[in-house]
Amino acid sequence: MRLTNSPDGFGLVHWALHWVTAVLIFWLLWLGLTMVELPLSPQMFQAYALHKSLGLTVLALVLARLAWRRLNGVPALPEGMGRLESLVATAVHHGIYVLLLVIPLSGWLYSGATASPANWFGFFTVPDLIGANETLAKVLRAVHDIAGKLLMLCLALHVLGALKHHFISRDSVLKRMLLPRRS
Amino acid sequence: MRLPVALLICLTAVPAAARDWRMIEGESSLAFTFRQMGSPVTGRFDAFTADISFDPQALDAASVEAVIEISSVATGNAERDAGIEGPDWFDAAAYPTARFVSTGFTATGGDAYEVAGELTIRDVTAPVVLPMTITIDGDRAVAKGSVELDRTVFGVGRGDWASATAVGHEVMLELEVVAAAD
Repeated sequence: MRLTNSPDGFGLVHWALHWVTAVLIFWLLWLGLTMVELPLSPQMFQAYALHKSLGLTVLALVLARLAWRRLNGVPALPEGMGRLESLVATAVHHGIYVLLLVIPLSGWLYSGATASPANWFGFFTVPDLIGANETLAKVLRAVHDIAGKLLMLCLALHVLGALKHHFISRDSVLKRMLLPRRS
Repeated sequence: MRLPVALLICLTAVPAAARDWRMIEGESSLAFTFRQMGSPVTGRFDAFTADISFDPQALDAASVEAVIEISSVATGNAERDAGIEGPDWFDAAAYPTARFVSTGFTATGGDAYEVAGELTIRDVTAPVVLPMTITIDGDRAVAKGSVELDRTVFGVGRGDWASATAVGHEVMLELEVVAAAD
């Protein structure tokens, strides 16, 4: 197993960052969609606390992945992709990265605006970026919600694209993310 | 000749009356801090009154009676404030106020005092000792103090909330009362 990326495959680091983030995102989406239905209760507090801890973890992982991309690049898109197809693939990838910054940051700000500081898995209190502010809380909540829905759309396109590469184009795009490069 | 002397002795033997003070609402504050999922959250009660009689030279006659409006709670989160006023917490509909009535002041050196009293929240009355510093500057007095309370003593946080998992049992009260001589 190689740690670094190469022009034709992902290394172990990028591969692990991708899949851990993927699992956390699905957990976060499920938590986010269900916790808002809970009445004010200890269960609701616990669900929100877990959502915040996982969300901050995703933020850290995404920042690490962006740094890692910067350091050793990512494999090129396969040859033979059309102009529009390449454009859509790049737009969805960039969109996911932007949303994975906007969503946790708006959530973190929302924690401050609602005076409910996050506590990372019970280890430490995460400092609030802003103070209590009900007007701002409404705006941040809307940003967080809409960005979350956009992320679901982008993830659907991302998965459809990967399946299209595998089953229709029959190239290595899906395989190279399913398994990290060996040499 | 004897009567005025006796009267004088009588008068001086009567304990000096404590001074009455009027709390200045805008300058006084009653804040509290508790832990929500392990992180500190601070709130305050914006409406409270205190009737104060205090003279450091006549501690036996000192007294304070404070009344706190539960519905004035503010923690920066309207949903949480509504929960605090609700039946599981303070049940403001049934118990709109909390009350502190002093039972005795003890000087502990300098400007420091221990104010013992009975605190009533909901339908529970329990003894509480407030360590305070009370400084008097002419016609103005400032009393500051803090004390940690256990919310479960007063039955605050019932049902699923009784456990400390989501909301800690310890609540730190911080009060600052600014008063003007009456």
